Amino acid sequence: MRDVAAFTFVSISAISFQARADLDLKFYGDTSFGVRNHSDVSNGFTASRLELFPTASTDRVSFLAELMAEAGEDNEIGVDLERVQVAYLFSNWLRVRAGRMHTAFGYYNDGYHHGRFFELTTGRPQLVSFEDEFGLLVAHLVGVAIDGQVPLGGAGDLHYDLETGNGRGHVLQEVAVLQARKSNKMFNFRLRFLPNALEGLMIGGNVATDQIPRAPPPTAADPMPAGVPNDIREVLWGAHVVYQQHQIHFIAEGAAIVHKEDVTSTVYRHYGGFIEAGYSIGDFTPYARYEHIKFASRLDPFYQLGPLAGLSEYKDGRAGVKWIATENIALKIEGETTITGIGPSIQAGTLQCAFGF
Amino acid sequence: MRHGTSKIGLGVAVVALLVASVARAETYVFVRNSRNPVSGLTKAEVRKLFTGRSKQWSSGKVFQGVIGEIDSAEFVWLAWAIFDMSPKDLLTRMKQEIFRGEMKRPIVVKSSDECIDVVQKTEAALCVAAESSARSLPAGVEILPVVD
Repeated sequence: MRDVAAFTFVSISAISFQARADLDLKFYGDTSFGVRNHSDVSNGFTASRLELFPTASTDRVSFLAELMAEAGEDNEIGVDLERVQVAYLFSNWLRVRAGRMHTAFGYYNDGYHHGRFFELTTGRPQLVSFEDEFGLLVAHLVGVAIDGQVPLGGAGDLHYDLETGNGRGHVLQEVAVLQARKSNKMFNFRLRFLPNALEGLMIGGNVATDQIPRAPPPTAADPMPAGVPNDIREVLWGAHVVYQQHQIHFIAEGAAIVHKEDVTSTVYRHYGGFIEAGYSIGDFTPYARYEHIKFASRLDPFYQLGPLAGLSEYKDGRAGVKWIATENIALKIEGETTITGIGPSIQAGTLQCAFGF
Repeated sequence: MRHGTSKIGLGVAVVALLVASVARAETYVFVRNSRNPVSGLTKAEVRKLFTGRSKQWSSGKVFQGVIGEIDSAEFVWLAWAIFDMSPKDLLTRMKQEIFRGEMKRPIVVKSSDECIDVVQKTEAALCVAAESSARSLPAGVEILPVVD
């Protein structure tokens, strides 16, 4: 309740501030109706997300934030500061950003943020889902980042990102926004090539290193703190190919996640990837996406949470149509099949109205 | 027979009107501030600037895009002639780049005259204006040639 009051206060403040300053404020959100089998409740409506997106800039300095009011599994609305970043542009080849950002890993993670209006499908791939949805990668970075673009003569442009931040917390869902859980910092490097010969094509790769800190010692207040028993070193490798031009939408992305436990030296290797493709015909874009995640044969203690617990693989296929009905409204209808190796395959259908004003 | 002749006459008149309207069809140009030393761009460079892939002019100034409203002739021309996409798709693309934090929010103007006015006051601005409005540009504003 206090969260909602705070959200309302910030909204009103932002709107009144907008009237006085060069601040732009947008609203993004979505509402949907879904059906699924093998579930206690076979269908339901959702109207669980609304976000404020303020931006402001003065010459070389820019600011943006995403303030999200979102319902959890208990139907209670909570408020999250999903992004807040300040950037200074030195030149095309050097920009410095600080705050809470989306990690520049692969294409999808920082290509799409929380507003679903821009996404082709009704939801993110599991690999790049946010922390509270048990995504495998580090979706958010709390720290600093530099990026820039270097022209390679007539061949095209090279775009780099170099980031460091707090990285993983004790558990998969944690984003260390205030309390870093270890002194070692996460590092991430991404390199992309954007050829002039085929505008819209992007080929890129990543490497990131981090440490997952072991659970804190038990206390009287918290006798069983959540977390992994030993420190884990994490190395992430990624590659992506994207083409978005001339009505074609194509994203292929893959990642390898290597976890090594410090005390036992046990190594867990996980692989995941997805291909998303669509073709726009006027305002309609039929699309399909297939995602496959293969978990390590030994159970990785870090991923034994939520829907990922005990899984050896995760397969998800979906197809649908996105219709940009107006410049502010996108309607999507989608069918989805998910196979996890545990229990039956799950079929679901979603009708989503995503908006941005 | 007379009926047929009058139909043919009407058809010819319609065609003549169409041809005349095409001949009079407005063309559009890019206008820049005279203090901006950049003397020409390619269409690809314009696309990079208006989608945030390039954030600066080659002179070092931070780019400021100026666009018409989505249904304005100037924005429709920018979408089709430069980006080869519908105005709605172009606006969505720009919004997405702003949402990603890659693009500075463009200034939205209601007419070519307002566009020229903004460019006159803003050194780093680039805008599309109707050629008829750009025939007699005020001091401090020049046409920026854009080639393929």
